[in-house]
Amino acid sequence: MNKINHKLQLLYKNKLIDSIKLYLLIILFLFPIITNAQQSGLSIMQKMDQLKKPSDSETKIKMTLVSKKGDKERSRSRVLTTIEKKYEDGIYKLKSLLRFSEPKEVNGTAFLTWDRIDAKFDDQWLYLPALKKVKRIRAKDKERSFMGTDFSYEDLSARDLKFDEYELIGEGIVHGTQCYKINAIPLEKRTQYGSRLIWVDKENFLMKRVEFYNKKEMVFKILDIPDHVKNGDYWTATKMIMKNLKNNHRTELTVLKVKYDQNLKDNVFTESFLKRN
Amino acid sequence: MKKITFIFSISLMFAQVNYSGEFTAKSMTRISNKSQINLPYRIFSLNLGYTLGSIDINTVTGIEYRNNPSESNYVLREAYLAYYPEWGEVKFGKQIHAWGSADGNNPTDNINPYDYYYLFKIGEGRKIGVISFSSKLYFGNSNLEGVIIPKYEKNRFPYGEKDFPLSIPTEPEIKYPVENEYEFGFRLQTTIGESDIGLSLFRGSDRAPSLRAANITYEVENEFQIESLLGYRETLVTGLDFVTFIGDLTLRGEAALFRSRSPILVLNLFKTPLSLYEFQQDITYSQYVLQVEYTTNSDILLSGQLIGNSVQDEAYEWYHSSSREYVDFASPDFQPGMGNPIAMFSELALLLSSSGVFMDDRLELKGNIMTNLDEKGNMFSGSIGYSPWINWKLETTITKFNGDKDDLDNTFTIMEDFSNLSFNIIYNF
Repeated sequence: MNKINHKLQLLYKNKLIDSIKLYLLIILFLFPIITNAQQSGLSIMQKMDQLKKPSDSETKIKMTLVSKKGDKERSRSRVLTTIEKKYEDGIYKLKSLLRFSEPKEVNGTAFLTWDRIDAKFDDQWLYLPALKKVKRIRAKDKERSFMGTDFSYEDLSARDLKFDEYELIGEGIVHGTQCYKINAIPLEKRTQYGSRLIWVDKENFLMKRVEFYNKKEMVFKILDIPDHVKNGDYWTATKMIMKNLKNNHRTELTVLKVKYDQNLKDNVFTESFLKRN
Repeated sequence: MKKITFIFSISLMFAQVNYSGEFTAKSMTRISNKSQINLPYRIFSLNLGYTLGSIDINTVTGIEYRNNPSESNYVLREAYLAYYPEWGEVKFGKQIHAWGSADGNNPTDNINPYDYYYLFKIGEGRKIGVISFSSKLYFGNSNLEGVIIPKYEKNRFPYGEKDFPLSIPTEPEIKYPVENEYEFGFRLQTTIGESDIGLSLFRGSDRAPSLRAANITYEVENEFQIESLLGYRETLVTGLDFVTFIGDLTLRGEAALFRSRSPILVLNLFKTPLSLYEFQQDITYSQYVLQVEYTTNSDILLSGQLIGNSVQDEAYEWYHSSSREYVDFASPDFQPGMGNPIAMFSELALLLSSSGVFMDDRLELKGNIMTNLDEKGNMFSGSIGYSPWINWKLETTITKFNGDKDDLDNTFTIMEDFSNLSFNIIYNF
């Protein structure tokens, strides 16, 4: 009886060893392919990230909110100017100032944001002309809607490449451009998205479309960037359309005017400048 | 001179001009009997600015209009020159300043007098511009602001307005105008972690008059006439304000200590009547506001303010102006001459507010409830604004005061008749 048991155990052990060997072989065989695919997705994103960017910019944007009921569309526009400057002082990543000029009721309303490298929240101030006062405010959670638009604060901030895992899953044509399709799965879980499907222009490494999936893997927003224009060394997305599939609403951002590398002084990003119209 | 004018004209030609403004047509109807409330309102306002490099010239002008009888007058609310060097800002001219961290009802903000016709507006809408020189210096996470006012300005009260229940029938004669018109203030603000803290000091004369002397004349035996003579106390305000964050809540707070004293009367030996008695008052009172604010996921702003004021210490003396002998007269009720205008309504009040914008900026809803925690009384106001076209807004607001039937002196009881429904058509340009 013991002999039988011993033989069975030996057979089982041998089979187990064979199975492990087989799995190891499969893994070893597939590993270069998986690694290659990951590197490929990441390298495309790195190329996109390495496109030359200005040290500062001033952009006038028309923001149109479009709601649709049946066949009827209604739209309402705002005009705003954003001024941004990159920082490499070890404390701040970026300082930005956003000022509304239309509709006229909110003319002069402005936000100042200091995006700190290590802080949990950004420093943010709001200037309301009716109060004539600069108010320190709590920076909104990244998941929240930006000023009632279909963009969230997260959508408008630059996302570090290390926060996602990128997988090249194919190719396709978007806005008449041959694109890579890259699936971005967040490694850092403080995001509203389960994943993002990013379409990157094969020729110039420009983002042309992003499909946003929730944590139940359902697509709920689509960002389209149909047009890019090259101004000197820099590419500018002249139009961005964010469609919210849940409520049939969309937000269109159209660049009206842009200036790069003006060597903006630090006092542009202070309370004093916030109050100037 | 011609050369300077020419250079100035050429500079203005290269300046960037910006403007914005508002037309408002307004009607107010009393809820009790549907009659019209005829108070003046700003029918037109224009903000005009010139920018030339680091220099701005700003003006805010307007037309104040009364529907019935139809009358209007031009108002220059602000006109100042601002220079923005790298270290801060310098401004000179007629300006409206804003100190403190709470949204309106700021006890530490005493530089500008208040216009009581616009008592229920928030922010700069209810302030009167003062000629002043101000400078703000930024250093690290801190800034220091200084303000000098060479010319005194008082509050504007709706005297003789039968449609405003708290109105005084006639404007009282100010027998003792402010002699030392110079006023000054400083404010130091700094950021510590995620919090902002401000310390301020302001010295000036009260914006509202108070009793300074009494001329007591005896007509027949034991029958006397009292003529109250008004002037302004000198007040030193020490303030503290802060903003901090606890989770998703924002806390804003302000507290101010007012040391108010009657200056010694300058009397004319030959003209001062022998029946004049001088009133000397030395009073310390405090005001505070604690605000908690929360923004929901759909950007609805909810806020609560606890507003309080109390007298800390009071001393007074009556004495005969010529003989300087003390007399045993009673002190009149104390009225603060500076600080938050809400203090006239209640010693302790809770103000709850909410506001939100919906339908892609077309619909705006606002609501406020002020409850008097000291005595009975409350005020409710609700507003619906709808924008059918861009820059146009139709707005209707209901304001309702509820007082105490058993207390006819209660401010909310007096204001009950002011409960109204207002309708505004606003065009912004």
